[in-house]
Amino acid sequence: MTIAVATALGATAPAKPAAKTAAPVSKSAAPSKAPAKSPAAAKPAAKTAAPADTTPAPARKPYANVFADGPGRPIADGACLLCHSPMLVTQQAKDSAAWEKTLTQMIGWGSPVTTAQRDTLRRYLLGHYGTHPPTVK
Amino acid sequence: MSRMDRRSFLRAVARAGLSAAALASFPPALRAALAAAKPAAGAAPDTSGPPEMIVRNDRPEHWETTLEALGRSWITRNDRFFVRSHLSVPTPDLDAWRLEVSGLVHSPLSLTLAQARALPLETDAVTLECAGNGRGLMKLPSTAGTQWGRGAVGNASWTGVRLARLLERAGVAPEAKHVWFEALDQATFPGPPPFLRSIPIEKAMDDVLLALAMNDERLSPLHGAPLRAIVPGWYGMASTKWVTRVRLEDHPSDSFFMAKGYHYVYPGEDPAAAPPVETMRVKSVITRPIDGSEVQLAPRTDNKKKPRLRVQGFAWAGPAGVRLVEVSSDGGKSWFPAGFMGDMAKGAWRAWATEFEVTPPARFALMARATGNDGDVQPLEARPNGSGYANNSIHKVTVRVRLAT
Ligand code: HEC
Repeated sequence: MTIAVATALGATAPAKPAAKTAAPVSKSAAPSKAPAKSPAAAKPAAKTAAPADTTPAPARKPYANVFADGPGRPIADGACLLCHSPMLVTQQAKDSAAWEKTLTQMIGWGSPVTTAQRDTLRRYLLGHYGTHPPTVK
Repeated sequence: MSRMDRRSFLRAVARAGLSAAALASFPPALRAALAAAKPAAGAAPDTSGPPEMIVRNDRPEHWETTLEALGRSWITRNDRFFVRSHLSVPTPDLDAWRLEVSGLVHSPLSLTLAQARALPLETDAVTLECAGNGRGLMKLPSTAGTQWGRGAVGNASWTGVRLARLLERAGVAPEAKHVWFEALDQATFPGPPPFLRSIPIEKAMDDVLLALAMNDERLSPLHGAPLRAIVPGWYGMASTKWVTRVRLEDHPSDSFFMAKGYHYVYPGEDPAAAPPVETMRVKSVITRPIDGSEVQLAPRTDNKKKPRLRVQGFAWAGPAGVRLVEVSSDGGKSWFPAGFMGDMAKGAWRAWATEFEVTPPARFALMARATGNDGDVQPLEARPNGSGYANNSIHKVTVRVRLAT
């Protein structure tokens, strides 16, 4: 169930048509008078301010930086790491046709995949980095 | 490959952990170098990396700013600015470096770095957004390219030579219609096409900078040292890094990244007729609250009043600029205008904020929608295109609020 919990406070920007026609969130929730502290008055931190936090969060690396084990891995290791790291590959979720398209491009650009290896590689990529509901990590 | 590039490349490959079979497939020289670059057994795991950044690819660098870091200031710090490189970062010999202006000009120029730095310099705050920003959130049958979240965007103050002034010095021939930016970056292995793009002469004569500095510091190698283009209002791919030659031609560049890459290929439409990716679409991002976070709200001194939740972020658009940001807390049924705050510059994003009265404890979603001066409104869902470009779908964050004790 959706309960109206949030009520917009008065706009500080010049009134726009949207505000006029917007239905109040709840009966008591019509945009009220200007907020105590107008956002316009609250300037963001100084332009080049250092983060307040003294120990910033470390880098996040959401994708595997090695190829998954499997029959095609040696081919991928040999042919797909010369120009970029495996992360560019392991973050993908492609169907067979899309992997085929990528392989054609990479081989065209110099990736040393032999004709004999190509099918094994495509099946390996599809098996490990095939389509699934896309999610951003 | 320069010696430096090669060493870091080898280290990166070694970290990637190659199988014996893969090693065997490399040429002997590369194999020996790889063996030497392999970390010793028992070495600590790789925890290196840029703080507060999401490393979507480490070689070449595809780094995204977290929204926490992005939200801190109108100007994005240099070490929190997103990085997108197609090929590897070049480390040119600065004594030998030249900026050339050639092609359809009356008097070609060749400037040393000292000469370039001695030209009249101008400074503009300009927001750059990767054309692929939000690609990872676009619903596509298959992914393609780097799966960016929302942080491949940033705003910096760029100082450099106004391209128009330089072109005036060289004298533009009447047949010149396109300005090509040639750069120094190359792949670590021969084969991939150079990252070569061009912009129309009208844009080049308008507000483009050849930047030498970013936020008052000389450009770093990652951001295009010693000189890069800054093309306000266009997606980031137009702002070529490591520029060394500006060439005037009567036709646009026909290189891969111009002719084939960076086009909106909509499903079922003729790829040959796909429109090129150029100016940025109107967009806003909520940097506070962070999606999925819990916010503790202070009770109001007057107990009859509800506590307030501050919502803020940035909004930008192409050359038109943004006119309005509205926020909804009811799934888009009603929208309330936010206020703009802080600095303002022609090519730069605008910070916005508003406050909502809330009844904790509660959980709800907030959405922010920007409108451009040209009337373009951010869509709920951007129309998918095969390469996931220009995803300006409305940003929605879910937040839990509690009363602070
Ligand atoms: C000769 C250099 C080279 C080799 C070898 C290479 N690639 Fe690439 N690859 C590139 C470049 C350059 C790009 C990025 C282009 C860009 O930045 O837009 C790329 C991008 C990609 C992408 C992202 C674009 C897409 O199609 O989704 C994937 C995935 C990829 N490569 C997979 C592979 C695989 C798999 C292999 C091994 C068969 C491979 N690459 C080998 C140069 C190479």
